[in-house]
Amino acid sequence: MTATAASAGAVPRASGSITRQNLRTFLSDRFGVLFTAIFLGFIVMAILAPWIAPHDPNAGSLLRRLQPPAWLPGGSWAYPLGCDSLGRDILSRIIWGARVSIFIGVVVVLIAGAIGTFLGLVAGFLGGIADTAISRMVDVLLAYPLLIFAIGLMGMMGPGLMNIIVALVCFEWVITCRLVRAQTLDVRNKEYVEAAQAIGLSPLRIMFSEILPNIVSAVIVVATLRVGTIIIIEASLSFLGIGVQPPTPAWGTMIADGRVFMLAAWWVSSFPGIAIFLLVLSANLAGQSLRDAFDPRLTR
Amino acid sequence: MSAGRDGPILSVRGLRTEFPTTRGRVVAVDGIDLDVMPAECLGVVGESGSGKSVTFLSMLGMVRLPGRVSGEVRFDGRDLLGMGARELRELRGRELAITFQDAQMALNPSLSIGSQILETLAAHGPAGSRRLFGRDPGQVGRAIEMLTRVGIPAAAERLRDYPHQFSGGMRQRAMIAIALVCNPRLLIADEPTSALDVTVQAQVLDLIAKMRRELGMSVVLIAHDLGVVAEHCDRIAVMYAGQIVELGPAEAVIEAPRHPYTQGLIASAPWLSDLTRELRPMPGSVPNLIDMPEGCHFAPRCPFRSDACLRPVAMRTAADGRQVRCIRPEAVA
Repeated sequence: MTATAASAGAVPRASGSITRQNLRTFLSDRFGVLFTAIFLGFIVMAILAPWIAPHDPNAGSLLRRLQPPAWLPGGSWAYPLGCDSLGRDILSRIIWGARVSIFIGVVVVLIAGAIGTFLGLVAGFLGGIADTAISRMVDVLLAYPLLIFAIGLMGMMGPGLMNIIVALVCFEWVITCRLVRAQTLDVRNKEYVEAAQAIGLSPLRIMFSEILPNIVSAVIVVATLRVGTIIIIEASLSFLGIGVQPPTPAWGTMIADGRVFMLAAWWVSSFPGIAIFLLVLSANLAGQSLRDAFDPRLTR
Repeated sequence: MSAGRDGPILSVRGLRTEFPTTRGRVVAVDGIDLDVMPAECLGVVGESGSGKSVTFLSMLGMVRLPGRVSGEVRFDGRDLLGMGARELRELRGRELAITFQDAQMALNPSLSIGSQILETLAAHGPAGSRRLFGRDPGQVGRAIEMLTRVGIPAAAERLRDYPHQFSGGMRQRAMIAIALVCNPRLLIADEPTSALDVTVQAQVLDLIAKMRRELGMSVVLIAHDLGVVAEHCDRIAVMYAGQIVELGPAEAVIEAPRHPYTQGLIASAPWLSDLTRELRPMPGSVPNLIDMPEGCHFAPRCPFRSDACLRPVAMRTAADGRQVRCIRPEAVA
């Protein structure tokens, strides 16, 4: 953390903006940059899937049924990671599957983050009945195991991409809400909030333009860390067969499909498993190094 | 709309602020009567905890629940305590401004100085410019002008700076700029110099005096340092345990204090003009606001106390207009 010490010492007059200092701290953390790059790589891969996937993810042929990866006997470089039980190219399905995983992870965190931030600000700043209502709702939702809650909701709504997003948002906002409420309670008692009231700013303006800028970095960091968790939960739902439905390629369903052949053809389940592992690991480590660089309590 | 040119701009009658606590009721402000005249500078002095700040926060409707405020506060003829929250908010910042003791705490660390000034302008500007997001280019010019007027060099560039890039004195100046950007008619400066170095203190006080002349506004200068108030104010109100104990022209109160507390305060403060004088600390300490003595609040520390002091003491006005809360005849002489 040499960069942190340096930035805490002298505040350079010309380039003293907080964001630029944070960026410098972030870039000096090699490990963090590496995993952020891997994470960004997954995103690029997902966006470019139609162009970079070697085969149609849904085109199968029983001639290639359970064909092993290229480096094993019987494999071919045309299908580098082998094929599944329907003879579909595993690499292409992983590339397409990244779309679903990342899309769900990012969209859920964005929507839930927005809802949670708003409710957390309201609860923390206004207090009273609003706080009681929101906080009790949070307490109740936190008492449910996340997966069971999602399975229940999916059971009611039926499978489908939109329904997964709705089900996960229904729970995920709680995480942001709790964080924002706690941070707001802390910031609300600062003198500059009192000063803002003395200046005649409306409660809405105080919440969004005085308090929010002071807590937004914490929200961003937690949101990044949550993307990984959401991806895992989506994969779990798909694995259980109540998430993304075939033929849409999703990592969770791929693992489920392959588990019957685990002993005979380990690659069918293992490669999507490794993909989930790498994506979630890189998302988490990227989030952590973002926190190290942007958390005001660590930098200022 | 105006209550007349000659009437007080701020008129306070029987202001009382109390906070219920688990150990009993704390009466932080106990019956304040006060007038602030147009273009006047009124000094308010007293020890920490004497209720100086709470008095003025109460007037602005900024006492948090469970605190309760009662009495009557008229600003330019309008009743502040009976006003709706929205109406009061319109008034704060535009006609009634307040600056706080520690600018480091009172400026938002995550917002640039410029956006903090612009926010005030946006909140009080004409209806069209009251946007929650975005800013009006005309108001940027006004912000730069204001920063220049409070003595911040290269104001246009420093608009983008954050509070931590300003020095202590500069922060205080920036906070004054924020308070004055809407040309208020009354500025309440809450201990503007307490957090500053002595050399910077004088600059900030001069700045407030200069802005008062230029804008023709009234100033309430809250301080615990008699010297600060003596030099810059027309009148002085001395507060003790939630009450005003003495009120009169600044010079008269300093030269010939009549209330024993004011006398003690002056005797215990060092004056550069008379270094040979012996300092006499006041015995005792400020009473606990929960179980306040029923009579004169200062009685337990007063060298002149008598049995008569155990009954409530009212403010009395002397022939020369000075007001003292003391039963001794020589106090009102």
